[in-house]
Amino acid sequence: MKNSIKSVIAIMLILVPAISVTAQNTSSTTAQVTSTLLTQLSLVKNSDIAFGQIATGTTPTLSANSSTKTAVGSDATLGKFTVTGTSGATVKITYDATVTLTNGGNAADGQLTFHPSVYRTVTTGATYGQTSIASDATYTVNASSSSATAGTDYIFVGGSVTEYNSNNAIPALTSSLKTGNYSGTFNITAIYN
Amino acid sequence: MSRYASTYKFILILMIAAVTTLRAEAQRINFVTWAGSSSISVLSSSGSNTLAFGTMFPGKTKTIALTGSDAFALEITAESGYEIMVSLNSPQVLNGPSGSTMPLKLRFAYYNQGTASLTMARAGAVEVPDGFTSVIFPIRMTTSGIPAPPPVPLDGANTSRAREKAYLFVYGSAGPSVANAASGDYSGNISITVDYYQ
Repeated sequence: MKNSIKSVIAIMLILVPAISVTAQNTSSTTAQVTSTLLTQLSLVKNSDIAFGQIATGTTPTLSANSSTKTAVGSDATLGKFTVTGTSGATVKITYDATVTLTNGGNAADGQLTFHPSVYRTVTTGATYGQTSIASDATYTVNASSSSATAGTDYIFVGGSVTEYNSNNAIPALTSSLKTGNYSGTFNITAIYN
Repeated sequence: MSRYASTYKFILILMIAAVTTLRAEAQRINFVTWAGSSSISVLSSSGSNTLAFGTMFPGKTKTIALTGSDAFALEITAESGYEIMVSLNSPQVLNGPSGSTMPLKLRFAYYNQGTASLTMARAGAVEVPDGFTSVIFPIRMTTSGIPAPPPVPLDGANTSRAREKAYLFVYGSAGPSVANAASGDYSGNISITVDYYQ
């Protein structure tokens, strides 16, 4: 009987290790996941586009890339916008090809057409731009910015005013134009491209 | 004798219990026991161990598709005839400047129909269901869908076993960042572990 018990125990001892013998072959690797979040893009208006007092028989013009002002009032100013985004990122600027200006907000009292001219510069304190920007064109946000992540550009908007629906080829405002305050809204947007 | 009889009965009960347990486990053939010293290798096929989402716009989500060449690709090499278990451990966010975080949601897919180009492997990869972090599959599945036959036992004439290659792809989306998230570089680490399935 003792021999039988020993045999049983021996069998059990063989069985138990057999259950737990397994190979532990494991391989693992790690990887890094990365992304670069761009600075929130902002476009802030610093000043409106103002031609001041203009007269018939002229073609009022504000140069956006020089200090030249033609047939405009003494208080005429370029429109100025500040774009802030990630330095070196590509931004697309879109703006109205023309803007209709109405006399006192009433088209029946007269309309003019504003033909914008848009330039940009990275120079802080500049009074006009250096590089032309066409609508829907892209450019690189101030890559020379000292900040690693933020860059600032300044956009200047000038242009000329003509008779309604005319183009720059028609030079002067006609004498039939009613006097008054002509105004309109110029839309400009900036998005990362 | 009666004293031995009760002891004998007790031992018999233990044996029956042990054998019952063995039968329950024996429903699946465990070839791992014979895997021996054969190791699994996991190597990047992407050239670097980085899953790069690149530049991201504030408030936007960016997705790397399984079929995109920027999905992180790995080659797994293991002994033919075995099943492997692949586990993906991924953080839920990427960490950025000033404690800012960016949501991260990764998935993975595998291709186990033999050696193939990465393009072919991506196209034929099996996506692991969204939310799952591990998957078990044979290192080599035939194109008919039937697993390859079990490995041939080693003997004096057959001293090593063939190895097969499977592909793993990690992909997914990052973002959108919250409105006031700091701009700059975000990163996190993922780990991929491959075992012979037991």
